[in-house]
Amino acid sequence: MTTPVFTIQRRFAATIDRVFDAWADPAQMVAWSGPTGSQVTVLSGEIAPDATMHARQDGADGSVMYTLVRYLEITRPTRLVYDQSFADEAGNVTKAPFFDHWPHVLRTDVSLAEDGNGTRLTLSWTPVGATAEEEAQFASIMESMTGGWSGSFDKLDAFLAG
Amino acid sequence: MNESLDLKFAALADPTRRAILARLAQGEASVSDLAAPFALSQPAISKHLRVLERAGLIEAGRSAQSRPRRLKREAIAEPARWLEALGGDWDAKFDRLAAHLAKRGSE
Repeated sequence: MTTPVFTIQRRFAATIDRVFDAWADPAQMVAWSGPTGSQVTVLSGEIAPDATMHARQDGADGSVMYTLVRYLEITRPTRLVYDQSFADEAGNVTKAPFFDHWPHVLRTDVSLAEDGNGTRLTLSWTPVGATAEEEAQFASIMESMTGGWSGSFDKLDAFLAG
Repeated sequence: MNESLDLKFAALADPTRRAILARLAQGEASVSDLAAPFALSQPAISKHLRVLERAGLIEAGRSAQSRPRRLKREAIAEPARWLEALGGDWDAKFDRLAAHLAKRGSE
């Protein structure tokens, strides 16, 4: 089986420099990249080529998760490539919480291009060094990563609760 | 991943089934109501409904003859939460990024 690759595109109404900074400036990155209602704290590292960043995510439900990101390429203002993993408190890569066969490492490739007065972002997510079983679980969930259903079901949830 | 979550993600991995769920979000509906907007036969819709029912995302009412289908709200929230925990909720993540950019732009 060929390695499954997830890709998504979005246009943002902001200049390419501002979109790039939202990914490359740790203070900005923590503001939007974690799950809704979570608090992301950088424990160590920085966003720079060949650097590793260890972060803690405190979920709205009181859960704690750690992530480890290794930056491979940072080219202002057009591209960032990094490998992301779940980790333990000490910064060792671990398997994903609660998912038995989620890939341990996912390569995230972010490309930015000017689009009128906005910016077009193309992102791909590819398992690295994953087993066939892990790639299969990634592929089965891939369909759910786009199409807006998760966001719309949040709204749906609020609508039905109200 | 547990078997029930596996079934839910498999059920969601189909645009027709997601459209059926979106329709049911507006209220319960009979099989013929659900089939109407699609160029699909009633048996084809019934097959999709069985997948959604087996995944525990919808249920069939027992009172009326037509056994109208309805959403199981909690069951639908579950895969969304797990997807978010994995960091795979890219659509919602980009919504948060857009909101972040808009907020900084106005400062």
